Amino acid sequence: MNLEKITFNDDEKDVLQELINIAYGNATAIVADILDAFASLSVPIIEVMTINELLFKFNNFKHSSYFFSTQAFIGDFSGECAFFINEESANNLAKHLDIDNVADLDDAILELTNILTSSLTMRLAQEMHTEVTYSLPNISKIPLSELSNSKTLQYYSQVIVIDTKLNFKEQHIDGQIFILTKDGSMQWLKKQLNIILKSLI
Amino acid sequence: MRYLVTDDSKLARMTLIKSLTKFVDNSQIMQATNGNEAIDIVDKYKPDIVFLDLTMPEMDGYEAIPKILKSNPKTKIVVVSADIQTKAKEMAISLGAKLHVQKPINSQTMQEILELLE
Amino acid sequence: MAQETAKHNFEISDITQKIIANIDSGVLVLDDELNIHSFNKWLELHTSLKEEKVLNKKINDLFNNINVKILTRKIKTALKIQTPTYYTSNTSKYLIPIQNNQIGTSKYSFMQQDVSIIPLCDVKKLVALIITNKTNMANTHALLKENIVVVEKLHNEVIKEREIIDRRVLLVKINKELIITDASKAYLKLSNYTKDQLLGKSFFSFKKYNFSKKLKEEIIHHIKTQSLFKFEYKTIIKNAEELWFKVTLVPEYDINDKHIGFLLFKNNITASKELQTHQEQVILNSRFTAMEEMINMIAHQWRQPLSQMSSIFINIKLKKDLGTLDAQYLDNAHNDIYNTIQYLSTLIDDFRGYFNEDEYITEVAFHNIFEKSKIFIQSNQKIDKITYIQNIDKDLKISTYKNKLIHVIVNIFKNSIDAFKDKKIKNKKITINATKENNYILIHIIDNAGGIKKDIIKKVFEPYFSTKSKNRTGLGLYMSKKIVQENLNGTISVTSNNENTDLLIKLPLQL
Ligand SMILES: [Mg+2]
Repeated sequence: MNLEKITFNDDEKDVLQELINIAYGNATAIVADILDAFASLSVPIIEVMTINELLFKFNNFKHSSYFFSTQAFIGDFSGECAFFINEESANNLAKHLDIDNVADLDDAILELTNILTSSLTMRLAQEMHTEVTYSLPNISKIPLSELSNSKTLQYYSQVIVIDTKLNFKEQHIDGQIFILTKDGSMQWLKKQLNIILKSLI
Repeated sequence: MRYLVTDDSKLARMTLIKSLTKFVDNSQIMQATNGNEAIDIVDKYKPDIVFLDLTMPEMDGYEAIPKILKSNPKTKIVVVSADIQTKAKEMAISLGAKLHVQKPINSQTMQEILELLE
Repeated sequence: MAQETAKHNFEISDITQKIIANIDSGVLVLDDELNIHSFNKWLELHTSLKEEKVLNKKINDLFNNINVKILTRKIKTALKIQTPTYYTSNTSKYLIPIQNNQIGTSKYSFMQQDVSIIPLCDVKKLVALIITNKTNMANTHALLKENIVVVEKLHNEVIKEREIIDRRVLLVKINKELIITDASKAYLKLSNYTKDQLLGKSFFSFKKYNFSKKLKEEIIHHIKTQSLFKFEYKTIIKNAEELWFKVTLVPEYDINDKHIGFLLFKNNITASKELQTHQEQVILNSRFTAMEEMINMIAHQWRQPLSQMSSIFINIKLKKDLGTLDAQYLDNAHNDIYNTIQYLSTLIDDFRGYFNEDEYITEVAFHNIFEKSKIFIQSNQKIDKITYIQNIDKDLKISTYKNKLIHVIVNIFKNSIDAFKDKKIKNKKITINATKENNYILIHIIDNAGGIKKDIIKKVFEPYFSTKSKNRTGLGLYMSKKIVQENLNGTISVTSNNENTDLLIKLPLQL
């Protein structure tokens, strides 16, 4: 494990931000189309933090009832996508997906996570001239109270946290997506961002 | 002809400029990083074509379109955005943009844009 | 595999076809209107439907449990985002109903399935559905869920139990370095300390404990040998109250049997200590009472010889006045007085010996002990008209604390005498039999004072503090038992019927 802290300079951050922006625009369009709704997009926030800092950030969600689901992606660029959505938003989402029983609410959240994370990471990978696949069973819902025990989170020492908001104002659905990447992927990402930068100069 | 490239992302501006310089001279291109800056430049230099991002801090694209057109009604606005929702496209067009194009733009797309605006 | 490619709406290679036919998963190709375009062997075997029968039929016409809306949406989504979407058994349970034919206990009558929907062709709107059997996983999951409930219940009970222990048990934990690492609420409450004041302090340097040097050494020894140890100590708590604790030192081990420290279970024994002090006081008082009795006895014993001496002196005076006093009479009188004085002197020695604590083991003839004992009760003997019968071998000797044994026998005699009181028994008698048996002497002291009631007999050796009791329940027998067991290394027991009470003392011939 590389314990040296990886940092991103402003240019690298800018590139990553813009790539996320494009990927996220794509993902949102798909969700919007499925939900027949309009999402307002915001500028993604990019931070490199330790796993403890991340857990602390997640902790803020514990104040209200939240659903948390993740999906892992694998490739040159690999990691995990985490999606937070509060109960009210989840219920509104269920309404839009014509889901009428509580058991299927989980399914709705998982479906949304799947759509968001796979289209987001796929497009992001595409922009970085690589490919990703998704590990099928890794789409799951983890109770927030058990988050700090999560084995997968323990594999990370530091993570790039890309924090974007999903916001369907009219439908009152909002959530938050975190793309978390591990050490090896961060090195690869940094290299790739610089290749993209150089190609433009 | 004068061109203004407006985007908060340096990468987005560089990508756009790279494809634009295939067709026009670098000296004809100006840059802005948000709506406010774009309006200032439009006021001063009256560019013919404004490439405009939608998601930007301080003043976003939706707010900038009518203000740019107010400053210079002859300006042709091309929205270049990651937001490809149908409603986003419709809104941009209804506010007065000539085109809505999905990011990122390559040379071929740029050629098509320039031909369409001629 | 005699499937004809022509049946399919798409190209499929031989290898792929073979894999699809033999894979341990259901592979199904659907379009976005749910028409079936491929149905592999796994599906045929599990549904008993042949591919040729289902091709180009709608899946929802074959299986009516399918939620058309959701399935259609998922297929369209997969096609749109060009990445797989999923059904999971967590939520959707199954897509195609397949009776569970597993031997053994399953919680599900239908196979639980995970379904991946993989986009195949955007133009023909085809997707592949990969159906995997997740019944085992679902069973494990359900079992786990049930066990979690059980474990949670147990966990809560343990927590509750711990709380009770915390509140009720006086417990102090120390680590191997003898630093206090924890203390129960009960202990904190009693000792009036806060956790902060105790934790991190060394067990010994914590001055409140105030152990004696000897006790400290013993504690250290048991700590070193990691052995269980019980001890008592006195401490003064914050409000200057004096407390007695009985402590059990128990070595503590972690789950890997590694020694990690000690648990000190404390028991507040202040109340019983106070009781003990009270008992000691009572015993002391009884000794004073006994002394008082002795003095009365001495007075009684002395009256006869003193009056005898007195009459001798009167006679001497009378004879002198009458002029009849001669040397012979004076010599005789002198001898009588001398003998009487000797007798009085022995009497005093005997009484003093009776109370003498610092006694040595001496060898004495047992009948001698009996004779001496009788002296102490002579006053009663005459009044109560009790006959003493002794069956003692003259040669029977014992090496023991003589006076203590006399004390015991006197107590037993007195107990019998008390029993005779207020009872109209004609031939009051106390029999004493002493015999040798191996290295022991067996002493039976039997009275015919009417026996002891069954419900009381078990309690005769218990200390009843009402010494005025007329029912053989004074301190006498309690004291006797104490002396026999603690000082004379013997045993004492009692048997009784309606008439007789037989007290048996068994003592070693050589103490
Ligand atoms: Mg932007």
